[in-house]
Amino acid sequence: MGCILVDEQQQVQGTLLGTVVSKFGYMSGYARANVTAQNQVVTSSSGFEIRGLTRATLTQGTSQGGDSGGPYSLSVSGAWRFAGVHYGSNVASGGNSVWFSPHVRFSNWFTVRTTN
Amino acid sequence: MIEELERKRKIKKLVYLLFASYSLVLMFTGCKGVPEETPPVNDTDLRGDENGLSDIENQGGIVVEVEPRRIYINEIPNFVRLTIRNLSDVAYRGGFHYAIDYHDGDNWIMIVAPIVPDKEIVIEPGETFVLEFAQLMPDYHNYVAGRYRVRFGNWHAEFSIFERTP
Repeated sequence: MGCILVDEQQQVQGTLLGTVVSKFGYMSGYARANVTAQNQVVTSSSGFEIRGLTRATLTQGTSQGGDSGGPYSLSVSGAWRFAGVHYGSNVASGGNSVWFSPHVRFSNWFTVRTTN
Repeated sequence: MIEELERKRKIKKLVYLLFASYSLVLMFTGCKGVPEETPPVNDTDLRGDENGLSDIENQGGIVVEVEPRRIYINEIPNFVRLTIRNLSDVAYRGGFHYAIDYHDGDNWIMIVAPIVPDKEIVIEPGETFVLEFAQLMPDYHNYVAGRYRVRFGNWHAEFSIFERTP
């Protein structure tokens, strides 16, 4: 695993490949997944292509309808950093993968600020 | 005068009986005065199993249809149209994940599990949800002639792929 880049808002900017991310879904709660691929192109339910997604394989927990928009976080030097936003999965139909928009893909447009 | 007294006595008796009856009703209905209504089913009850699918088969079930149902092997489309009808008395709440299965002669084998947004959909009783772009992903899977189905949770719709006749 390479060096994880974190920006001034303490959000992950670098590659996530090979890392273990934590996912929180409104419906399914917390899950963990290994990031296995980046720059994925998927076809949406409207027939359009969505580019730049990151794929991860679930190792703990699950994913289901209602989870979209949930955050991904990554532990960097003992602190949790925002890493992306959940898109979808193939878990309910028999797979074990999840896809999310990595923060680096939209950090130029907006950021996420959380408080304790 | 006597008749008037008798009439008043009967009215008093009737009022007393009505009051007693009402008291008994209150006693047996927990003092609510009206019959207790069936509580509404909450979202969790309707949400169903771990796949996000509601167990509403006993209520009339879900009917899934796929179009087209006959496909020639040299004309396999990227997408098929999936129609999901809720014929039950309760709303369906969950995802719209689906998979493509192939029948190998003995068993159904999952061959494609497309990526689906993890949005929650609600299909009210009697309503229909249409997924215009259910993916077959022919670039990903090498289809052969045979029986296939689109599986949506516990429900499915079959389609067939035929060899192209000359």
